[in-house]
Amino acid sequence: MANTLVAQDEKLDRTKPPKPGPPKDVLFPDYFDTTLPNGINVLVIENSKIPAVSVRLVFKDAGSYYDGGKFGLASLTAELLTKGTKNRSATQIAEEIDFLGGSINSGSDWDGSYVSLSLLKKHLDKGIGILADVVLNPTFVEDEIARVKEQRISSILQSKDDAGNLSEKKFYKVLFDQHPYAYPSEGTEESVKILSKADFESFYNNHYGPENLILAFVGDITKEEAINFVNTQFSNWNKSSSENRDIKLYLIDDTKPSSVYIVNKPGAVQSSLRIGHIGISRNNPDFIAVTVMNTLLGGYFGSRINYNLREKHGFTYGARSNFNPRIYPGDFSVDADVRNEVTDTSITLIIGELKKIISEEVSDDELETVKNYLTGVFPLQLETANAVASRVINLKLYNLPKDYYSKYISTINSLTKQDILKAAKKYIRPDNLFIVASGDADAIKDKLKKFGDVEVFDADDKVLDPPLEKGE
Amino acid sequence: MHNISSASLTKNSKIKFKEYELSNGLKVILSKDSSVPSVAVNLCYHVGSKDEDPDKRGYAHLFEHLMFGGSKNIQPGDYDRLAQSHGCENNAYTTEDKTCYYLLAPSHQLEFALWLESDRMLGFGIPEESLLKQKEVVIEEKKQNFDNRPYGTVSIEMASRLFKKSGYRWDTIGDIKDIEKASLADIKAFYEQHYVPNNAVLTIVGDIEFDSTFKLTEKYFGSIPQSLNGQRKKFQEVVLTAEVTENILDNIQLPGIFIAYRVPEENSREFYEFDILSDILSTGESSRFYNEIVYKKQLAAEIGCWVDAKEFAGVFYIYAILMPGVKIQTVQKEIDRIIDEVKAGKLTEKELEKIKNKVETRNTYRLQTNLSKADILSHYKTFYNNPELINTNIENYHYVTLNGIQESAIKFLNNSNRVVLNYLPAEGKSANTSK
Repeated sequence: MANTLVAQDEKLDRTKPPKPGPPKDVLFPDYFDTTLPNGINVLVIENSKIPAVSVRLVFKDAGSYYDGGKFGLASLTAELLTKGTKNRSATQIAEEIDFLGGSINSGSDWDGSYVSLSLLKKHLDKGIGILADVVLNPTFVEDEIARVKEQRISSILQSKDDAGNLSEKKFYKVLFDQHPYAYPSEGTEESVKILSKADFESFYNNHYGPENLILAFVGDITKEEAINFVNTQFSNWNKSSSENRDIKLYLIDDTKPSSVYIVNKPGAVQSSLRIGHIGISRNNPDFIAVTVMNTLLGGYFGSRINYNLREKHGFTYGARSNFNPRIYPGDFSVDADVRNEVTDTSITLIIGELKKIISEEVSDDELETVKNYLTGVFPLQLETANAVASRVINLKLYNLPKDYYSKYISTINSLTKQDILKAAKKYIRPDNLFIVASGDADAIKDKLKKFGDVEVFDADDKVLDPPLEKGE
Repeated sequence: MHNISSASLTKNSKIKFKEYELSNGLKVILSKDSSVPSVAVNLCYHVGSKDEDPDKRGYAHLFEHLMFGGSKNIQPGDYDRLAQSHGCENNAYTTEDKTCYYLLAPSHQLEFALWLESDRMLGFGIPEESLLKQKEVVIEEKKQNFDNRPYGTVSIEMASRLFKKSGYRWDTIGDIKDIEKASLADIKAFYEQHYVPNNAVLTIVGDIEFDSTFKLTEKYFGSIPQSLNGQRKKFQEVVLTAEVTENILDNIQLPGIFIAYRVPEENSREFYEFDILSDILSTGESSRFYNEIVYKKQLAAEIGCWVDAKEFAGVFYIYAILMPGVKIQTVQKEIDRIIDEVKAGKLTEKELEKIKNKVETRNTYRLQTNLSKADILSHYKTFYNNPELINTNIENYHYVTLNGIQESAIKFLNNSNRVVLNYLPAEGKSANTSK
């Protein structure tokens, strides 16, 4: 046996990767898509691999973009849906859904509010009854309001201990300025405190309705079954929610020279960095080119930024860059937690990578690697029914072309080095950076002055040093 | 509400797989799922932080990092670069008991994935440079995930108080001093002892054909020599005899309480009982801890409970982060009161049934992806020589009774068998700063 193995190994050339066979086609699964007379957009993403179903509701124009200065309103309205209806108390809702072995989750981000039900198919009938009840009949009772507000305030307080959270919040605040994206979806201690029953009722009435609802059935369910559920539970919902949609566009000054903001965390052993500027909206036609460019720059383990900071210098456990696309342009940021002594060196290296990507074409090899990576991992993004559903919902939420995902791989493969350079030049601006570091100000402040004016804040966002000078 | 019959519990389609063993002792499991053109390759080495020497704490995890730093035919840095340029996602993780490496490859790159993965079992190729760099990366990882994170040191502080003799007395991240002094010779010795085919399970799940895939595993792994030097240390541990309570100051605003009891190991009858109990206490808003302590009395901002199940021991964890202004003693009293109710047999059949339904749902969802199935198959093969547990462990949950839970709670959930850590805001911090 040993001899045959040796013989086999002699034939085996381990010095080079074996040649692959031909790649298989990756097909984006079909799905059912219809709009009911009352405006509900029903989607069915069928997949019977496991006997489970998720029902996902997305309310467009119901995210914290519409908080109207009452930060946390959208998010707490969503949370309160499951805290009491005309037919069930909060406790009953929890007991009934838990007993089915299922879960109902609700929440918001800037662009939408979400409710979802997940359970085994055999319990779907009962589960949908509860889901429809929380979406259609919430009561926003006072003592539940008081309770979720207290919980939220303590969670905001707790988040101030987290360096990454502090730097992210500060980054959004200085970056988005007067724009609603400047404020955390979860709200602030002050804003949550003053939210009232009337606020929740009015947000619900204005932003939850059939005509801004995407209702997706996902998993082991046929289109007939899904339509039947919609007809029984949601087809009589006819309220109008379209009044009072404030779609004011906010101007953001993105031409300011780079500046530095430190959130002081005395005694911190690392600095949590967020470095960036305004990015792009999700439906930007350059989105895929930007994705490929950003992946190469800092979007995956083998990216330039991670290689430079982690593998080459050992400054961090990991460094990443992201474009966070939203309905309106979101942010572009480079994130890393680095040790105190190398905070300034790390920033220099990051800025160096940003300058390089806008001034030189990437190499053929790098581009080939990123293309292979992004197209190679694409099937993994279609592996579960919910992963497919998230993509279908994105098409709808962000008004993307219907063939976006079926053309995804060919679009990536068509991009050239020139396209990447063009995308970088257009969307990355190394001289207009908001540089935020949450860390020990005494240890890092002086060395950061070379990157721009430095302001220091505490965890409660009070100015420590120097005194606040209002920018224009 | 009515009972969900046991017949419906078995309705889920079984995961089918085939088992093989190569002549060098490498165990191979293959399972087919062609829903997407992708394969998951999971290689699980039966070595974790508990197998380390007491002056070499953190080597298993450091070694996991180093496995990306070069092998016989793969240059330092090339593992990730090659994986990505062939369309693969890859990563690894280390626990007290095992170190798992995985690749997710487009199915036409399966042979590439096996070529790449087998090379680092075949021969040591880590240069000094990789060692130096990865020491730094691991030290930053410890800072980011432990030192600089609120309540981040709990697992480290708990380990040394829960365990006295075995390698469970230190956390997987290890000790900075030990990591700093790791030499290339230490690392090579660790590799030669543990990274051998007869100490590993290779599981491949996805868009494959059994015969040709098995032949590929033989082609790339079959000629790697086995080693019989790897004598496993006999597991030894003492029982706890007196409650340990400690206050720990941290950079936090809200105090937290962390309670840990020593309980039996994974896959024991008691493990399934405590796993269900932990869900009864804290999963879902109708759970006892949540309903009473978070919802009704509003004493805690969050509360949780779970079993940390290891190869030779288990830990039943409870934690709560307090609402502003609440005293730690108040919350501890509430937790203890509820534990006493469990021991007094106050749990109901309805609660048990509810959690069995939850477990069934969770068990169904975790069989959705190739990666998850490969990880589970490797795990059950490595520790119990029984990958079929992927299909049958649901029955072990089904057999749990209220009596069993009560008896095990009486036996193990005692003050003398636990450690209580109170995390308190360091000076200058206060939970009452908000107006």
